[in-house]
Amino acid sequence: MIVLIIIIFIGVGLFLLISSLTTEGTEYYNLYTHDLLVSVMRVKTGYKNPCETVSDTLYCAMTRVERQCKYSMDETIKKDCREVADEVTPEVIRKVLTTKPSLDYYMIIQPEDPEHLGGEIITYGNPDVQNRGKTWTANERVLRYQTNLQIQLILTSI
Amino acid sequence: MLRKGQMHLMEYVLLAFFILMVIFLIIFFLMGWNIGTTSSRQHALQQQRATFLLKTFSNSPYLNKEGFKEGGMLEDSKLTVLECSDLEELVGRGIFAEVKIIDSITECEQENYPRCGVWKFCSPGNKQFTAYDTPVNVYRTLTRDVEIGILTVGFYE
Amino acid sequence: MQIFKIIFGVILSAFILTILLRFSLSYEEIGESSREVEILMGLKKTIEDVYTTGISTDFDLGSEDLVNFYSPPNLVTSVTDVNLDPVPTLFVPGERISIHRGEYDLGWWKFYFVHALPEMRIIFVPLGTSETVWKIAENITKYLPSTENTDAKVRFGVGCNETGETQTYLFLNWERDYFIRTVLTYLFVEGYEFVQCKPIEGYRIITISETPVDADFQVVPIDDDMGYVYVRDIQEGSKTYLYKNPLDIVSILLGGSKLYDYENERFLKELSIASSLASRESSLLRIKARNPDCNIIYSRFTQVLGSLKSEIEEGNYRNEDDMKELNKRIRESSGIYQELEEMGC
Repeated sequence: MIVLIIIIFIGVGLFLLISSLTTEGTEYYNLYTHDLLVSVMRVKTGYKNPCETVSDTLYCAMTRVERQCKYSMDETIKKDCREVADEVTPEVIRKVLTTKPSLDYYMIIQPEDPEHLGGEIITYGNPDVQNRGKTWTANERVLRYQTNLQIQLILTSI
Repeated sequence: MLRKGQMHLMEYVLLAFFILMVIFLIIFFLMGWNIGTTSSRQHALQQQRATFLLKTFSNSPYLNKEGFKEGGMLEDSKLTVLECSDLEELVGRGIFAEVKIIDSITECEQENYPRCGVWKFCSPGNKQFTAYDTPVNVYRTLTRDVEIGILTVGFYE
Repeated sequence: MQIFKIIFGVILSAFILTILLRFSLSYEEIGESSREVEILMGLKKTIEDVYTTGISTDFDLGSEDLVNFYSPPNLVTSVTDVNLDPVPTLFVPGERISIHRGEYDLGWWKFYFVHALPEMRIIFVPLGTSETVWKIAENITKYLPSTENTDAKVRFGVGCNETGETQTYLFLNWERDYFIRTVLTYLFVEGYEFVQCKPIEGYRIITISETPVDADFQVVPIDDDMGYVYVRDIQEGSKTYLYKNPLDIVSILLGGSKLYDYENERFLKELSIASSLASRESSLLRIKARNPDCNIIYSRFTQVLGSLKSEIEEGNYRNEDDMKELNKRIRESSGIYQELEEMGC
């Protein structure tokens, strides 16, 4: 009888402990992830067409590998779309995430039709993020004529 | 015989007392749990309020550039002329907000516009506050440039 | 001994049962209230989400009686009142409602508001063939939500035709966009004429005519923008309202004088803030803009916005002359803003 009572005590205690552990902030972090992805895509790179915004640059990097972009402040400086994408995209994300040092990211850019462009994908950040327990994901489509791009951003707590 | 009977009786009374104690303890624990969920509910409501304020500010038709349906494209000219009293009229008192372009330190006034990148509204002073932030874009009206910044919105009691 | 045990056991059991019963009853009451409060908080959050994102959704209140009535900005319920501020909401109680964001677009500013409506059937009765009458039907429809992506539908029809003793009306599963694009256009172009409808249960009837007639809800235009709404209500009696835009008509239709007053106060308050902000922005850009041609247009824009703000502060939304002036300023401001856009300022 006493053993039964002790078991009831422990059971109630465990139940209360488990119910007190709450997952906080999912909605907020989903909003943050979405806003980060959208904001990064819209930023102007400082280069001219076809590298005007980050999303333009990524599209060019995936589809028109030979095109070069002139730097707005000095048109003698020319770079490949991929070079500009590699230079600007992770740098912008890194700067934003300095205000959230507990977060890490992984970004995947690929054509919507995986058979298009030989199935190449571009990635930035830490690939281990995908395997972490609690992650927040945002997806964006960049709509263009030749093919649409699918861009996924994953954030997690370090 | 009598002692045995008395002991038996005592056992019975003790057991009854113990059962009653367990029931009362369960009731107290449940009350405590209710208080606990109320406090975590309050925290959830606070976060809900903060998320709403973030989205309201970031998607506000008073501050956004026309043509960006998803919102989050705040015009620097509109931010420069926005005042604390406008914010209070729109979303209520006890709110503060800040927009800071990455790598900017100069606070915007009408005199130094557009060579600035920080806007502050309704500072909380020394009061205790709750604040949340999210990335936004800032559209430079005069140069048509698009930069990235952090929007921070908070409330204080 | 045994008897003692039995008596003691019975007393103890009765005591324990009484405590447990009392406790569980009060918990059940709290539980039920808690559940209702959770639903109402969920509704408020959903309305806020729709307001900020513009993405429509349905919401199940679980019971038609949960919300007693809407006294804007409060949802009045038996459990607690829920204040929907700062979201301007046109709410009609029902068991299952669809929530949409609407907007009144001036070009340089948009007034966002939220519709939260149950299933609804609306019949327009345009009397006569004048373009003004049919245009009003179209404009009112534009300020009601498109429910194509939600379950609680708002549907539209036109009536009535007299066929001997009975009246008929045209009503199928027409939702907003199809109704405007196809049904109203076809009926107007083909010159269909209708007569007044007698009340039809489950339908809201809007009679539109150039002169007042004997109807429960009637819209009589003065010009393309403004006019009067005459409402005959069993509880509120006969009332006359001035409307300056279709949003006023929709507010009266959905919530009578309370919603009409609330919508006007919110719209005019926000318009005042918006015109003040836009005026300051225009002054700033006039000084800083590189294109000198823009300076003149910015000056005009600042001036018109100043006049607009004065009209709002001094005017009365129930006064025809005041609202005529207000509409004139609004049209002017939108026109000048269009010029700014075209000039690339």
